[in-house]
Amino acid sequence: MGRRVAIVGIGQTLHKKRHIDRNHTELINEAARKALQDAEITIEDVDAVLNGNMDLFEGHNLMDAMTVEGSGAYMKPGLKMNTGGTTGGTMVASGWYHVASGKYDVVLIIGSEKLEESGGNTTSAIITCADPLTLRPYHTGAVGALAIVAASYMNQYRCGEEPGAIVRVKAAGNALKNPYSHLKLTLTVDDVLDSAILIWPLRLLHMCPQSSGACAIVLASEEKAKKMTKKPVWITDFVTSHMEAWRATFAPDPIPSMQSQTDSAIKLFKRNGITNPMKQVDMFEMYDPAAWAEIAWLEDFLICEKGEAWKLAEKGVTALDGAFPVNPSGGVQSTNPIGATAMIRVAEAALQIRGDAGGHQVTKNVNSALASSFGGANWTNLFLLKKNLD
Amino acid sequence: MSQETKPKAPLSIEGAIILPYRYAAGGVMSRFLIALRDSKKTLGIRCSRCNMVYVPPRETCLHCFGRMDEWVELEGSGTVESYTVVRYSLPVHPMAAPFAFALIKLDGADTSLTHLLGEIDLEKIKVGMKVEPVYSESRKASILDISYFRPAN
Amino acid sequence: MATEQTQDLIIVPCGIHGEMNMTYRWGAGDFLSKAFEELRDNGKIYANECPQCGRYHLPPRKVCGRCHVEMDGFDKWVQVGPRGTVLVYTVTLAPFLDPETGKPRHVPYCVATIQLDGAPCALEHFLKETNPENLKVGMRVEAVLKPEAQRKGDLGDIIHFKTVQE
Repeated sequence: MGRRVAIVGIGQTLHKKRHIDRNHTELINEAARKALQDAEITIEDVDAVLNGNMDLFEGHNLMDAMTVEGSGAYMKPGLKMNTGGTTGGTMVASGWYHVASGKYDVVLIIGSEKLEESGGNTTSAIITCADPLTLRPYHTGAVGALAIVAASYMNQYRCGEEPGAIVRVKAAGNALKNPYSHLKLTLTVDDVLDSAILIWPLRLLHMCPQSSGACAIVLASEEKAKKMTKKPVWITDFVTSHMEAWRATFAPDPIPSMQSQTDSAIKLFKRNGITNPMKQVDMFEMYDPAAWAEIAWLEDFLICEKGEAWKLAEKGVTALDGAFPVNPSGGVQSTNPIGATAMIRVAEAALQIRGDAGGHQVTKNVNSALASSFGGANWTNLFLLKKNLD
Repeated sequence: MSQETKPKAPLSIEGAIILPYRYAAGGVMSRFLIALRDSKKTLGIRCSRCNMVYVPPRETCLHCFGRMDEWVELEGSGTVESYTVVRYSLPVHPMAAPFAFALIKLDGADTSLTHLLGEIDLEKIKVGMKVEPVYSESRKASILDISYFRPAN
Repeated sequence: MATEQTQDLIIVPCGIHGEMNMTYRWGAGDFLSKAFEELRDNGKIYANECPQCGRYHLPPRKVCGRCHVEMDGFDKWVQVGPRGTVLVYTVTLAPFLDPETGKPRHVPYCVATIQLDGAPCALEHFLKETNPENLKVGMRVEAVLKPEAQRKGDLGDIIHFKTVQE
């Protein structure tokens, strides 16, 4: 299993539509400095620096090569990762490998994206992940894929359009309490239902924004973590699961289900003795790129029975003061600087465990949390974080 | 034995990726570009801890991770530290071939600036030769507001 | 492309033309080349079957993504279509840049996952119908091919799928 690894420092920039006052290097630098400050260390204490972002969202090949002074990676070992939406989670996993292996004690991981720099053409860049020979001409980016999730769920459970709107209103309310979130919207269910259709049945207000921002985390070995902080958050376990990106060729498999999410949940829950996740885990920061994804994927992650997730939203179970809060940060629906997004899930879950989330701290006591990553190649990272060592 | 799957000729399919981008220069680099555009001045930034002057300027010192805010105005002239001559043309090249790229250490700077050489016999470029900037007539807050460097008198 | 300035902050366009423009040639490999040849020369659509799990792949591929086994030869290919059933569809109403051309894609357009007759497998392609009122899961459609002389040997040799009444 390797050495035990803790989160000991967390830093985020504000996530916004545009950061015109700083370039990408400077954006990374802000998150890195904040994480180091939170860990009460300096760059000299860091053994390795890992970077993550998506080349085509800024048109930068090898972003890590030009951001060295910002990340603090000068003459330090490190990697650059680019795994789509999962990038931030892949970096947490990779940071874990670096520390758990015993190779390094303290690792700084930084995820960032400046989607403003592709001028609103994020979808166009996403499309280039599709096979150019068979799928690219028909690809509609994340919006199309998430529209299929929504259409399939509504078709299967005949729940109408309202649940998607209820989830979106919840996310917006949480985001208003989170100073770092991008969209600050006061929304009603009718606002969502009246918003423009992008791809039927997905509406503009169902969909995540295109954000610019960065997130950084300091990971440390057990020995170092215990010396560095009174509030380490332990990465108890995680699972990474890959799947075929385009399920259509595998028909008649059910189309909407994210099998990599289910697969990762089965493995993670089994290894950690979790039979009733809503009782045994306190909350979930899910990678929810659209309101309907939060509903459909709670089921794919085996949090509740099929056809039940939309009722959880209606009953307020997943609200900030609910029994099983989901995305108290406002989630990806409110903030999506893609290379940082999955890391923000882990960071936000860790802040909840520390009790440091501030305005969007959930009502219940948080001793454990799940955090997930979703990426364009339909792969999944699922993390289990805990306040205490087992 | 199953029948082999062989096409008459393997196909390869043409495609392209064409996407627009725009980059925020950031506060530090913007100041450099505006000085270049508006007053043909070259600014550097000094790290007081490492006593290094960076041109182009940056926010963080590469060596000590410290924030820098001490601005230095340079003459603009410098010395060729290294160079290469490009002898083929590409649409993305800033000049028609043959032309020369050089690393130029500006007087008063500790880093080298990558730029172009012009008004020069390509066969007579030498490491150590003194060069001076030639400014573009239509400056746009771009590093190409210096059109190129030429041998200094 | 002009540089933009807000107060004292500069926004710089990418490169000389403000955009990245890269051209590529993607190798199709034997299986996909064979499939595209059959489409181009004979107007036929094929799928192939994994000998281990029995799943069909459309277009055919050499290795099953589930079982990681190499698939059998051409005699194991099954002709599918040209008719099929819509499993799921989306209608795109908001224009966005097509990264293959650098120009906005024409909207509205409808992309569907279509289960073709002949084997349990599906293809993603365009539907001719784009009005949501005329679209439904389970509707029957048929591939419309380019005239033979215009076919190039790629999936674009199928223009789209048109609605059929049965």
